[in-house]
Amino acid sequence: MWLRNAIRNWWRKRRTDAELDEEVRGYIELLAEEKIRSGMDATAARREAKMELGGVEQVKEQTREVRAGHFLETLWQDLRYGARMLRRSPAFTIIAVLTLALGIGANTTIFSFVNALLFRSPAVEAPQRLLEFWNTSAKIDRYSYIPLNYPDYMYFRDHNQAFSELAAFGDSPLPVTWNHSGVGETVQGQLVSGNFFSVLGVHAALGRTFSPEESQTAGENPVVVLSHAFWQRRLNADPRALGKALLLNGTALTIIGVAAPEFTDVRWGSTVDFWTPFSMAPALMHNPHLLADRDTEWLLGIGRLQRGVSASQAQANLALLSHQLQQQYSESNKGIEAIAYPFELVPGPTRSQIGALGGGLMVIVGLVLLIACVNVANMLLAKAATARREMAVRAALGAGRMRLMRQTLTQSILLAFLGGVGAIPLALWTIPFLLSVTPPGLPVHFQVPLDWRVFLFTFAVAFATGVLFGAAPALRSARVDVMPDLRDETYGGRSRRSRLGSILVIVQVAVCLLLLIGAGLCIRSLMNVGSIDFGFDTNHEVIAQVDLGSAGYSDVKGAVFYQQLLQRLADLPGVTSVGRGDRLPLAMGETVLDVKVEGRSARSASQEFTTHIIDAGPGYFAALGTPVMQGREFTARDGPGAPRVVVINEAAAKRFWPGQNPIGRRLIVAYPAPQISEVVGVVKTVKVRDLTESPVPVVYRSILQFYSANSTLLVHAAGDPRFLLHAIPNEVQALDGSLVVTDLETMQQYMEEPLFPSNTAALLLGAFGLLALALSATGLYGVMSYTVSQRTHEIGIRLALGAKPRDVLRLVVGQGMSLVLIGVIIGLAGALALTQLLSSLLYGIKPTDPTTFVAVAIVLVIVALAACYIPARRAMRVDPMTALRYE
Amino acid sequence: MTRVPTELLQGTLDMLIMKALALGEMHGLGISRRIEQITKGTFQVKPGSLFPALHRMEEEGWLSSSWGESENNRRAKYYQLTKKGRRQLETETQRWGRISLAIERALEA
Repeated sequence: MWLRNAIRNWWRKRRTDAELDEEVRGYIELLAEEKIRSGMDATAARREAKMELGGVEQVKEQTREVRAGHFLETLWQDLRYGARMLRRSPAFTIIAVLTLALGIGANTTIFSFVNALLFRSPAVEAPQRLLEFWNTSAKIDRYSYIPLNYPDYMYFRDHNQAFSELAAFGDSPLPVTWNHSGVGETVQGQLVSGNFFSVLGVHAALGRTFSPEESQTAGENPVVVLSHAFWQRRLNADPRALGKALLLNGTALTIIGVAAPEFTDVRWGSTVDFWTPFSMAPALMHNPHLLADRDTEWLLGIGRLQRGVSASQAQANLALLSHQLQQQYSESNKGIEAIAYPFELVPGPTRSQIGALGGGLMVIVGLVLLIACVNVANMLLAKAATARREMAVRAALGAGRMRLMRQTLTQSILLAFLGGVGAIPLALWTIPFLLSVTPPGLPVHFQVPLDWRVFLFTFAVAFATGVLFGAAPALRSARVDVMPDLRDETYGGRSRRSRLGSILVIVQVAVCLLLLIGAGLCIRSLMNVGSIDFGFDTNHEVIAQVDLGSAGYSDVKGAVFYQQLLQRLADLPGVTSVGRGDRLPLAMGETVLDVKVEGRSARSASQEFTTHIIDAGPGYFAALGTPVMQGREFTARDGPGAPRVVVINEAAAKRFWPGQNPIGRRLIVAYPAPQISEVVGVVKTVKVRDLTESPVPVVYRSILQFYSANSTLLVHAAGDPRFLLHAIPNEVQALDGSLVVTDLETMQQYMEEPLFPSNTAALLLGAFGLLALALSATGLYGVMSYTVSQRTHEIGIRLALGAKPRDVLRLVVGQGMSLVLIGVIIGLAGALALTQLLSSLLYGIKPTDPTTFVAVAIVLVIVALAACYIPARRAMRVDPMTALRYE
Repeated sequence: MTRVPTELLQGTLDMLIMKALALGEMHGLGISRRIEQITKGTFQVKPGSLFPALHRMEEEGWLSSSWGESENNRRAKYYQLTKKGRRQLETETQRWGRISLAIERALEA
């Protein structure tokens, strides 16, 4: 009903308006005639009738107000009016929109990341009914993350009562060598159970996916399903790819299907190229006993809940099964419990960490936006002063206070929306830039798209922003005094606006100071991290991975190959040392074994320690740049037949034999079979897992005694090592053309990975801090300029009365800086309170570090001084005569 | 002569207008005069309240309008009560009766 009326009113607007006009004037006529009939003369009658009516336009407006659709019509009018106003002052509009676009754009960028990580759901069927699970150990901590081994997964699969189906997948992608047309290339594979695709509900775009019944016996069922991206990129989306074979790590696997395009694996940032069933795992991972091995933990479980079963029930069921396993296998499963989480692209405890990080960043960009809002509010207030006459006219024509307020508010929201529109391209530019800062070594492909959530967020923020900075000008516009404003009496230097403006400036300065102090603290913390002694040299090495298993090398052949390769590399000019090991410092994954220590004094509490184990070859420490503190490092003589030797780091020495000489002492490493090994050297402690850890004990075994087909090569050069980026693959190819070298990078590039989060944080905070500073400075400058222009009259009087220009300068700058100083004091107080929140992120620096506080405050004061001084200089040059004439 | 404060007695104003029109179609000023008459001069409806009310009620469907000739041969907009309006008038009258009865009782108690 209302809608019909509204449409009709809009459709016939002109005619309805004309009719209304006629009706109201007709009323006046009839009323006048009544009065004439009762004896009044014509002119008097008409005048009295008009006065009784109270104003034709006002009555018409009151009538229009009650009609259907009036609100929308006035809204449309306000929008057009607002647009016209903005067009009339293009400089103002551009600056305001730019300021807002920067503020809103920062928010959009951060939200896009948060959205991509936390809110987007994986492209599977009914993800809310899926749970992921892995093991934790009460011994380590509740949030420890221990993948499952294959027999445990089978047990869960066969005995659970909560899931209709339980699948599993490898906890990290598997890099394999794809040999085609004589060239080797690394691709990323993912090992999965047969029911993986059916549990997730993912279909094939071409061919088929795995069927659960297909055999999972080792060696059988050599098939792959390709990812859609891989099929498009590398096989040119050839439909005849089905049935062809790929030679992966020396095994031929048949392509049976291509996955649907939306599905890109179960982890955010994954770049999986193909999936293959567990039956292929022993071949591809060079571990023939993998499927029966209780000690290799490499799987994560995922299951679809049965109808009517809740997540907590499923968790309880898993706990029960874990207990059963603990009883059956008390050795390997002691203290191990399965823990389930809802299935997300970023699951589990990482989710809350990222949530906290994302939340923190959103607060920061929110503050930047606040500063931008203050700027625009000030600009609008300045403009409102000149628009007072226009408002007065409108009020005289019948606009109520609400209408005036709404008009101004609509203009603000329109401005904010334009800012929101400008924010989108800004975000589209910033996001790829941030993504490009990712170190190249990470095999991930982050997708941060701008989906509907991001757009909704952007425009919601724009709307809220418009209301926020539009509130003050809107309230100001409602307080219009028709008569004085029409006559344009702008007497009075200190207009009412200045108090609000002052408060806004103080707020801006305080918030800006807060942000800059936070940024300063984080940057100094990062500088501290950067100067940590990692225990090895990061400047002169190149590292590379070689996998001999994929080319089918036997243990003996492999050992010979490595020996030859290392010799050739050592002979290259410019190379000071070479070595190989099973992992690098700060690499992902670890080997942890129980070590029994002999020769401890009788008073010591325990004899057994769970320790990190790294296998290293001769020259490993020299190539790494880690000094040998006592004894020696491994040599070629520490080979298969020779007595077992180990090298330990200083932390281990302190732990196992405190205060004693560890050289010559013995320990027993529990796996693969307990062997007594003698300590022959002590090396400096090197960072193992992360940069800020306290010293971790490590026992190094001789790699010549523990062969593994996969090795990390380290080559140390005297000068710039980058020539090795070509030399190493050359030498490898010279020995065997089918081998491919992977993860080839300089140590500096490699170190970008652990430093990546800190570097990114510094980049973001620094950028936002500078943005805040720029916005605050321009805002302050604008306020000061405006104040000066408003007080030209007053300044002229002062100068005419004998004040020196320098006095005027001091007056203006003094007033501005007093506001700044108040803001600084408030900001410092706020920072003292709030930086406590950062204490967990800061390394080597207190959240209330006085140097940072003082330094940042000084910088801000200097910038503010400049922003006040420049317009004040203009004030100095006011010609008293012109100023006095101007009113 | 008391002026009708519009916000307070909007429902009452509607009722008076409809009652005035129950006697036959009329233009704006005429309605105002009729209301004055039938309330024995108690209520004088100003055009600022009258016209919004008339237009609102027309949109509700209680009144319909047409252009005709007034007494002095001018064009004027005449309003009539529709069938829906008549029903509404009855409903309002009954409700008013109930309210005034209740208030009467309350004041006597």
